[in-house]
Amino acid sequence: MVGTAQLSFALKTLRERWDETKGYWNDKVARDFEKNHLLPLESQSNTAIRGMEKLNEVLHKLRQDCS
Amino acid sequence: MSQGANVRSVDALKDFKVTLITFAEDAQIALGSAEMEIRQVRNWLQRDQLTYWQSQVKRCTERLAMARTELHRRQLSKANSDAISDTEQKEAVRDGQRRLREAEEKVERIKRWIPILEDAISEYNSQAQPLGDRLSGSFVASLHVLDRMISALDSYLAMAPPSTTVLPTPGPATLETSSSSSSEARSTVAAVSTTGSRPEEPLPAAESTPAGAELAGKAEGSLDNLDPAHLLQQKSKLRLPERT
Repeated sequence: MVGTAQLSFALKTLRERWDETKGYWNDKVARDFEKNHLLPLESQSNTAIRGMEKLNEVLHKLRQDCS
Repeated sequence: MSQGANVRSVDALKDFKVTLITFAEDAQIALGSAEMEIRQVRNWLQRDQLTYWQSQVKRCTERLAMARTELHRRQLSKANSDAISDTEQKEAVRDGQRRLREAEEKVERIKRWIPILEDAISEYNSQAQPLGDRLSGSFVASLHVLDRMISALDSYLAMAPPSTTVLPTPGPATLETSSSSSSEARSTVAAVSTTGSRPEEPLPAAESTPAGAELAGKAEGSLDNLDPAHLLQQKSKLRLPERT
């Protein structure tokens, strides 16, 4: 599934950039921003990626079985 | 105890805001691609494949009927002559039966897969929907947090007077408020640059640091009420501590 790789790469880039940004912005607002905005976003993205991977397995078997 | 704002580069925040927007765009595209693939597979299975193999069942049924008719005709002819063979017709019937069985099995298999696919899609949707909802909803709030922080820093920089004393040593400036409500707040405000420069730069003007202290104070809570006029009022209440 194309979306899996794209979302995984986007998420990896986001995390890397945030880790870089934390070098320049390190206070309570930054920590709250990470806790309340970025971590949920990462968690939901990872859940979506797992969903895509699982669906991809089903689609692969389906194509093999029904072609 | 109050905690200070520690921002070493406003450009870093601006860059990260761009990264966040790019992520949202990429994530939306990824979710859209998955949705498109789901639609394509669903159409392929339920429309193309099912329709095709159902038509194959019908076609094979007709061919088998024709083969059986031909075999029956041949067997009637064979009864009158030993020279006539019905081997070819029997083979055609067996071949027709095999083809019909394969087509029927295919239809059954596809019908079995339809609910499995729908279950898998439902499960995927339940896992992907929270991200989709966030990207189209509360994600804006995430951008607003960055916007408010960037705006506050820009305001702080705009208020810095042109003739200022640059502290010679790099590193954070420590400010102490003299107001009773924030007497314990020792705010660390790092160098802020609008030119893309990053850490280890000289600190901004001494006169500008009260605004930084205000920024630090606001950083602990909401930045909504951080306005330049209020920052200017606070300037007279703040003093610079001794440089370390």
